Amino acid sequence: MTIFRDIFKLSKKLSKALLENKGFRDLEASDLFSDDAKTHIIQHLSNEAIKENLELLNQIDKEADWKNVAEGISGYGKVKPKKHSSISSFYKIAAAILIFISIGYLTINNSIENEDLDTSTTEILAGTDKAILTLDDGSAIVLDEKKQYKNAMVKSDGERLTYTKANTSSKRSFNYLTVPRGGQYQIALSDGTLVWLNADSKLKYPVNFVEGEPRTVELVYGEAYFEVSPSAEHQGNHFKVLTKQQEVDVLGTIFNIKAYNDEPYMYTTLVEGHINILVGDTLEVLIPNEQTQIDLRTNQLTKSIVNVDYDVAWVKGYFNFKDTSLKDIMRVLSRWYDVTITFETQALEHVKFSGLLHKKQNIEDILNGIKNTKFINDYDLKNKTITIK
Amino acid sequence: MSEGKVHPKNLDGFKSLFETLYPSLCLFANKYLNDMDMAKDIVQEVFIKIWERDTPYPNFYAIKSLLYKSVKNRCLDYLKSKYHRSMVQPPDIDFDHMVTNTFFYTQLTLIDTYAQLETAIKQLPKKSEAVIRLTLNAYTNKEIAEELSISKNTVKSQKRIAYKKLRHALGSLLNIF
Repeated sequence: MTIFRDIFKLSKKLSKALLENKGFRDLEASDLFSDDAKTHIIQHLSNEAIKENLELLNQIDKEADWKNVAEGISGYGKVKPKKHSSISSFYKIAAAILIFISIGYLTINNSIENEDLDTSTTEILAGTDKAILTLDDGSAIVLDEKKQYKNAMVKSDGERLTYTKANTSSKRSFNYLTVPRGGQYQIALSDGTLVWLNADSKLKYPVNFVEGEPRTVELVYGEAYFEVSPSAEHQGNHFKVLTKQQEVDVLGTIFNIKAYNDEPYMYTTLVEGHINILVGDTLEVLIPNEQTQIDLRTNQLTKSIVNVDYDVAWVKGYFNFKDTSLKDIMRVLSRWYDVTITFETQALEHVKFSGLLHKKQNIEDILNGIKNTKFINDYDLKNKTITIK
Repeated sequence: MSEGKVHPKNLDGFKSLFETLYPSLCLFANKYLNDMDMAKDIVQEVFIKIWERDTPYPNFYAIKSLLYKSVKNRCLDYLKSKYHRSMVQPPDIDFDHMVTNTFFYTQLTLIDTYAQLETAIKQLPKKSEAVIRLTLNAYTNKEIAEELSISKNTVKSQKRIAYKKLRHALGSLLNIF
């Protein structure tokens, strides 16, 4: 079966190359085909051939022909109605993948045309910009998108908290920013470093960084995306991010750390630049598109190459899942929509979906979409608890 | 479930599978048969057969592979029986080549590439869709501008919009395996 997987992968790369007007390097490098076959394929990917075949594809009347098939099926149904319940599994999965994806796209399209999605009809709302700022003296300030806040060192426009660089920075004082479930927030630290905090996350950081020392912050828990202002602009001072399990040391770069307490692993994903990760006595160097995964029980570290788009989609207003188990998807959704999700049928936890979702989407639309795939039987929504059946 | 009717829930899922793969399977069958009406008949038959089967498949690509394989086999059966019945010499088509896996895999790659392209382009807003279709036909920006009666800068900005969206589409939609 792997030959089919390889073919489908190759054709995906070919379609990408055609759209981006690149050459057929992937085909040339492929060992699926002889040189003759490769030549044949390239000849049939000419502009004329593509035009002709796309036109043929468009001429086929799916709706009309579906009627024929549906008749054939219901004829069969009349003869052997008993079999209905057992024959469905394969296309349930197929449809699951397809529909989930189309929902994602529908939502994106909608959101482009209509930025303010109406979510007033449900009691469960998508997350918003909100956080709690804890000052050095322990006082707490609630920040949200409708409120502006300002003190001597820091101001908030409702979406982002911005610190100003003090002239003297001898006294070290810390602030905490806590983002609840159903929230997200941005901070511009006093050195110009930008941090996006995802739902259910907490960051500890100095109001001002001490000159001549590494600029150190701590991701107490949760997920954060960092755009670190270069060390060159700060007398070469490194930037450090501490979490319970590791220390990340950087010069100036973009990366994402996902360190939730209720997940079995912690992930660090590098988008740009390079970073050093210290776990215990082990030093790991990451280059772009690399990701480390640390097992929170054993502290064991593994490194892999990933498509970072999936890991940082949340910063851009999306959730992007690829071959992700329903359990992991629900964990992400439960934080963003601030709901509890339980599975009545345990086996469903491991069903994998792919797709792109807009973060402003109504959760019931997502659940209905998944339900329409027939992969889950039903869901139940009561008092901020969703039960997958 | 009402009598004599197929469970509508299941039918919905099956229909979405059909709508996704039917056009490309027809195009694929036509590469063997060179007869689009026959191609459609065969693909429809295969879908009905698939519905009757009682086998679970682990994922989408497994059912997609199976559909292509079944359509290929039905096409070859049809060609064989046609030539046998009519007792004519196989015409100018290279039947020996058609039964090989090389032919099968080559056609599958091409058809799936066309289908992926079409799916991605269909996601675009109307204007950028038109621009991209002309780009694929090797039109220059200037020619596209003339063809669509828009300015060259509009062509450029539509292309930018299209590529941004296509990156999304290709990044996840086509990455579903």
